[in-house]
Amino acid sequence: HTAENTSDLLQHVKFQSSNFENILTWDSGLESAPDLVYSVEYKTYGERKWLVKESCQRITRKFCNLTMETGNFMEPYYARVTAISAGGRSVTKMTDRFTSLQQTTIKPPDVTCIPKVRSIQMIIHPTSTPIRAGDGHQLTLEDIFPDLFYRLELQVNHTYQMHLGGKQRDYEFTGLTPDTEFLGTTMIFVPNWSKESAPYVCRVKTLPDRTWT
Amino acid sequence: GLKTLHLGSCVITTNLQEMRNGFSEIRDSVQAKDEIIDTRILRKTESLQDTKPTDQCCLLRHVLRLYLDRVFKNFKTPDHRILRKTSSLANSFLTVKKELRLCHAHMTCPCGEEATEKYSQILSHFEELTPQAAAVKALGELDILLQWMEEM
Amino acid sequence: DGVAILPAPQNLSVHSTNMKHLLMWSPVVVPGEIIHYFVEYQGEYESLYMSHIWIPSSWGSPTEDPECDITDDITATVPYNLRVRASLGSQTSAWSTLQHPFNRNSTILTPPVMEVTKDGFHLVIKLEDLGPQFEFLVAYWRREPGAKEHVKVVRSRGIPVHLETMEPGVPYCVKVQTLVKAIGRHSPFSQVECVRVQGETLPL
Repeated sequence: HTAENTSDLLQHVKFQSSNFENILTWDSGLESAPDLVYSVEYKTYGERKWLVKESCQRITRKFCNLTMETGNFMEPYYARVTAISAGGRSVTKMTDRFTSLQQTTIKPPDVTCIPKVRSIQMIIHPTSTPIRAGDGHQLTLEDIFPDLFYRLELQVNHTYQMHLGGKQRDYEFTGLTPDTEFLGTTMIFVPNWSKESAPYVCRVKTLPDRTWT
Repeated sequence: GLKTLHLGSCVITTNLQEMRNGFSEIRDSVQAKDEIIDTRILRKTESLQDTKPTDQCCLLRHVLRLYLDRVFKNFKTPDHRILRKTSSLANSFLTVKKELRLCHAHMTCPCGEEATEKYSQILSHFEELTPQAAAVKALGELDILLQWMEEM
Repeated sequence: DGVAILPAPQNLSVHSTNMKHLLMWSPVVVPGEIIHYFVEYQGEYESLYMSHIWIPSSWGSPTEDPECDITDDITATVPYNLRVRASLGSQTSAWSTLQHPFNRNSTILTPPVMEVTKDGFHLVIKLEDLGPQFEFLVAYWRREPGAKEHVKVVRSRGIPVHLETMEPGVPYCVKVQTLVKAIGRHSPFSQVECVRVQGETLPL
């Protein structure tokens, strides 16, 4: 650190995490900072030594992917960025303590909506994460959060909703009117961590009933 | 909702989610007060989930007592919002402690060598710091303790 | 020393329904003056481990009304001590403390307001929004001999929700109760409400 005011070189050093993809981001306080370079280090909370993130040394971009380095989702981590200007001014700033299990957000699920004559089927596809189990296979959100469940809502002519939900991935709203448009939303809930994904939305129309034609 | 903790033959229910929600609202400001980030009180080597089941209740009971006697009590803050949240956590911890005391009364909370050894390790990490710094660090590590309890 | 000239508020009581807790007291009256009140609380932890510590209420420190919503303060299922004092300029009264500590598990739980309607063959229910701590246990059945009672836990807050696709000609009946897991209690069941779809046959 230099006594000179350098806080303008570097601001908002923080982790942005969704589905356990952990990206370190920061801003430069200056309007334009063409000659600024940044170097990133990280460590597990409680360890003495800071570790160098090799691919994020003397970079000009303002983000760095630390997903692998912060891959133990129950461990708390810190990261820090050092900004260095051509004139030799430098400043280092650290993130808050970061535990991805607590702080990662959940992206909307991937869903296939299949309209039929009097029903709409909704198939939710599993969401994989960058986290690998001991045997190397990629963990899904369901693997990581045992209490994860899905909640599906079908808006029926703006007056009421049909709700389905649970841990399975295949749902069907039945008893619908043929040849009618419906708005379906699907969300992921992790109650233990009060996590709720943004909704996946599909607008579908039931098929015409050609039984008597 | 409510979570059932299986600690050997001691089984209790607690509102972990309510505690976790309360702590998440003050986590960043409490953890930011802890400037000693190259040491830690609740370490993996002494974690609850890596303790044999018969000793888990005793270890948790002692750790909760540490929090009730020397963490919430010594944590000072002028911020009323944080004060209310720590009060809520302390009172929820007290509820859990009462349930563990019932197990103790029913002889389902024995203290074996492993619990005693691990607790003394935790206590020594705690006592390496001044009382105020230890209280700040331990409160900042409440999410670690809640995660240990979640695994039970 | 104007500390005790002002009388302390009297008749403190807590009115708690559906996890909304209201501390009330008799107003201190000084003609032509506005009295401010300060409410403080301590949970069982504070009273056992640091009894000198009292925490200012989230909404009642200060307040001009002789009541204070303490819902956001009572956040654990333990007994809470509560106290109030009056203030007028530099004058403050003595503290007045609630005679018996209040525990949120004593809240009165009432059945929720329920609206049962039908849309075509769909049985639809709308329940009042009582807040995030509430779930609703909805029981519904066909009113005919030997009918089985179905049960659903509904969390939709204030949004009409489809319960069942009905067959024509048979009345469908519904009753509901609230569940509050934080205190492990539930309300009595509501009145039963029934609806029926007229006798048209259901298209195949």
